[in-house]
Amino acid sequence: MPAVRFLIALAAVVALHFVGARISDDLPRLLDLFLVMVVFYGLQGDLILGLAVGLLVGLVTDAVTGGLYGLHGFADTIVGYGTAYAAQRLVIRRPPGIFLMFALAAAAQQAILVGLVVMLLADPALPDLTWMLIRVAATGVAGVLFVLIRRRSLKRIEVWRRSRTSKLK
Amino acid sequence: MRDTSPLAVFASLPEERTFLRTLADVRWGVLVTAILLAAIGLATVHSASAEMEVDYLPRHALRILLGLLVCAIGFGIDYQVLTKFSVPIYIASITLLVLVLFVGRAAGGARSWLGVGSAQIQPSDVAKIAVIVLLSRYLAGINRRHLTLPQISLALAVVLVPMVLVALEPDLGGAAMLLPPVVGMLLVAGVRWRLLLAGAVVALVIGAGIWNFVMLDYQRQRVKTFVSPQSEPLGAGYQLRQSKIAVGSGQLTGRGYMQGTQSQLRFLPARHTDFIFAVLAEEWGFLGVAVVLILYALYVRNGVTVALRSRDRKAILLVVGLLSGFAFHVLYNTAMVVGLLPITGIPLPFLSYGGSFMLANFFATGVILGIDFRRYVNR
Repeated sequence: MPAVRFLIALAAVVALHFVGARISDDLPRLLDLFLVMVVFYGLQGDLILGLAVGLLVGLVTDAVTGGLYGLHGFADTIVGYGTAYAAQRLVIRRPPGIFLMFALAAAAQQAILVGLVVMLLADPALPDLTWMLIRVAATGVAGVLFVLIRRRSLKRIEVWRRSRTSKLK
Repeated sequence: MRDTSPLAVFASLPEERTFLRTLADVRWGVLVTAILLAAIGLATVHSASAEMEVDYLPRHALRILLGLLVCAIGFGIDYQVLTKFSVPIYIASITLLVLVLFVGRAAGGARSWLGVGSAQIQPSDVAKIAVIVLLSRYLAGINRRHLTLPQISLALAVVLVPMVLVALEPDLGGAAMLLPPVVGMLLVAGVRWRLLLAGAVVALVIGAGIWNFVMLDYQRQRVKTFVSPQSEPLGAGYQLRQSKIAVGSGQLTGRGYMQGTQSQLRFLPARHTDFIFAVLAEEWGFLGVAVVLILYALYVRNGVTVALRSRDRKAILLVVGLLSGFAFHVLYNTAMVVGLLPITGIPLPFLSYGGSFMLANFFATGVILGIDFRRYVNR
């Protein structure tokens, strides 16, 4: 069941990515929804899950966005592992902490991508620094919003479930 | 004098640091040889593709880096968990093989690639691992000295399904590569000699049937070229002839890095994939080839040590399956390049350019290391 849930989430992110790209060319540059998904799974604190989700989602990102295949696969795997490692050692519950995790993950991903491109390509096309900073901030905000909305939705579902069982009694 | 090597330092850690002590005791030679082979492969792919329109160096480098991460995943996943999910993994791999028949991308005469955007995977690489994982679980559950005929038949049926699907692509070489791991696992699990002989006879009969009714013209031509390479020096025999020239011209020390005429002047086809061994032989000569073959032997030897040290039947079978497939790939590819076996699309592990094959090999390496790491836990 978790695997099915993961695949549905991945399909939804791919769909959102294409919808965003159709609305504006700048939207995928502004926000990497795939990274939000990687960090979200990483925050569960399972190192192997972080690695595996990072790899799979990263490779899907590469397939969808084009370019040198494997760049995001590598970067997102490292980010997924790093997030899971941090989540094992830190209690990240409050919005500022969550924002920091997502923003740091985005910054780390950008750093790894730039490092790889510089290392591997003879004539690398580096991203604009302003766009990188905007992307880091946007990923942080999107991450916080997603986690908070999900938390609230789960709470509501739980309340509804309890009220339903108490009515049945 | 006190031994200050990292392993000795780890081994001298206090008893309570069991994780680090166990980690130090893992047979890391498997990974070291894999990395060395991948590094040699990277340099050779760069040389082989230097005169091509596309530079394969960055792509190949990235795949090796990804491979190392996949190796970490293989190491991290407990093989007991892997075998627990062997049936869904097997079904998923069969689904991919069916899918490739309808929506696959054709390359080299076979529809064997699944592509999404810029990504491509070869489902037969996934199927190889899926079959090994499933059979290790099945054969480990049989508590007998010798397997019975129905048990062997069931094991063969497990591999026959993906074999038929891969053969339909049509990729007979890829289909044949599914068999060696199973044979290796069956031998370790226990097969009577008379059954082996009977199996060999049946295989010959099936082989004759495949030659007459299944193989396509170009596949038959490859075998005919193997038997008589001089018959068509500019036609079907061209590839083998160029490969032999490349290997022979390397002599003892080779022509030098990026100095091979067969690769740099584009005489040798598929030089960065299936015929990378010929490029290596031309540029580094007998000495270079010997180093690579020694590294392959060390990889297998380290793997065998892992199997011997393991106390779990499932783990032993898993390692044997992975190593059999690996060793057969190496043997077939090197023999094919020098004309000892017919030409077919079989790459050289860790050296040839190819994404899913590289990742599958690194994953297998990770699984072998993981088995060694958990040998005191899983008995």
